[in-house]
Amino acid sequence: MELTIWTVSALLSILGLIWTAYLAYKIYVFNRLGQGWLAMLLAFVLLIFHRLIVYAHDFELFTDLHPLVLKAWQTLLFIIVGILWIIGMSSMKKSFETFDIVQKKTREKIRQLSKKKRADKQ
Amino acid sequence: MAKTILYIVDPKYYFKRVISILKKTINKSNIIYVTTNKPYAHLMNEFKKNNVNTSKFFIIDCITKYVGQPLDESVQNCIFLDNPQALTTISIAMNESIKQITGKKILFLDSLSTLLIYNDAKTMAKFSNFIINQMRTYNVDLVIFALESDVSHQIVTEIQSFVDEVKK
Repeated sequence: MELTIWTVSALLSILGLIWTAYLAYKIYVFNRLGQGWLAMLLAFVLLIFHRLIVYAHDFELFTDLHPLVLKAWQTLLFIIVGILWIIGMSSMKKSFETFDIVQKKTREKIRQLSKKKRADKQ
Repeated sequence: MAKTILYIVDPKYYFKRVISILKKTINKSNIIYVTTNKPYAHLMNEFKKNNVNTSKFFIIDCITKYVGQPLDESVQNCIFLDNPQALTTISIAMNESIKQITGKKILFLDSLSTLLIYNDAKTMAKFSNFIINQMRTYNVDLVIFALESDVSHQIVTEIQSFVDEVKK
């Protein structure tokens, strides 16, 4: 029973991560939020890879793998995932800042233009 | 009521046709001109050469920065965007200029064919449909240019069904 619940939840977590990676890809394609957004996609793919390793280890597929080695790999993987998330989020932040800058600049230029036109008329 | 027109233009006479359409509308409205294939400086020269009065123009330039030409940020009638792929940014600039410019206005999108070079067809279909309906909401006339050579493109066929009129 315990094994079944564990198996189902492990499978669900992998499926959830695959779905998240797919959504990250769709966001990249549709919004073209910059190459940095691909880092988010890569981070999710690495998390899927991590889940598969842990899953395989729990089912004793890697019997000769020392727990410390697994822990070291996990730590390294999480550091890489963290870095990729920082790159992705920074890219998103930059994009949103660009949206804001464009909106403000457009508004400002049109105001200046209207002012100039009014002055020219007078 | 706002009207959306798709002009399908022969590539040989493309810019001449654009000029003639602009000249017909220039006295009636303010013009918001989205350029994706001619940098601002070049466009202004061409307008001057063809005696087009640019005092009512606001230009959304998606190409100068992309091709690495020097920017003159001091010009008041133009906003320079990163590239023709930045569709979200383009729609923000369009939206803001429509809100800020008072009186009657027309939005010129020059051109669908160039945007199709930089963006995939599905994205362009969504973007065009969004822009067309947004302009209807704002009661702003919209003129879209496309090359005759792109008529066979499925997206151009689709857009023909979104607009009010197709002219050649």
